[in-house]
Amino acid sequence: MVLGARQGGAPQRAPLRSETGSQSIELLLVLPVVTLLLVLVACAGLLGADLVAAQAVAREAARSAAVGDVDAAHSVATAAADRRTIELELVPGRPSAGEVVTASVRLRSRAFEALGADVWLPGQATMRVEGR
Amino acid sequence: MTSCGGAARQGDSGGVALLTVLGGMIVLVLALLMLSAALDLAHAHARASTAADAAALAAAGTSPLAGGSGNPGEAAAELAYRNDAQLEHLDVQRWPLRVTVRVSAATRMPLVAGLVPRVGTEAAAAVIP
Repeated sequence: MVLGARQGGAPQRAPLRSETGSQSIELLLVLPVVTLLLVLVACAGLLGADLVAAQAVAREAARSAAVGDVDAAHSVATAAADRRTIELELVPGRPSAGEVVTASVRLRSRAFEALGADVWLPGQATMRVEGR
Repeated sequence: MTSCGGAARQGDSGGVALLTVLGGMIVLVLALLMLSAALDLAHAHARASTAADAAALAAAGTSPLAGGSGNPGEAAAELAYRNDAQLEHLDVQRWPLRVTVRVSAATRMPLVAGLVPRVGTEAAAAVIP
């Protein structure tokens, strides 16, 4: 049986009678956007946690340098970073008692690692070097 | 101009699903905003804690017992400022020497800054003779 055939003409498709599948199609179209938003929420949480962690790492490093253990500041910062990659800079490199030492940290966040993005978060802390 | 050659829509049954998904997306965007606000507060608190610790230690370090200059207020204010915060209050107990500082750091998100402009925290340090 040929549906919608014109008399004397070529066969033609029947007009659409229902929209039964439209919900599935709409869901299919919007689902990627919803998934992306969910991933963004999760990544934002990780990013924020890493930002606070970067500040904590800087504080630990500055404190270590302030009590006169500049060499230990790097190992203290690495331990505080909890296996995250960090870059630490102490200014001045060899502070003397009474001087102010600033620890600047860049912490590589794991938030967008799965997406291939390389995000570095800053943290900075300044403390006065105590007398020895 | 082309005319619409398709059949007329018979119903809006798919519109409900679309509205549900759009509602879900709005909830997710709001959740993202709330999460960002909470993280901004947490970051400001972390900066304030760092500044408070540094300010308290610097103030205690000015004690003559620790070989300092004897001006705890100036030292605490300077260290708080260097840590991107502000000294709010300083309390010094002469003996045994104990310094308590209250420091605040500003929030950075405009949405949060309108409601909670600054986050404060306290720290104490002492000199043991």
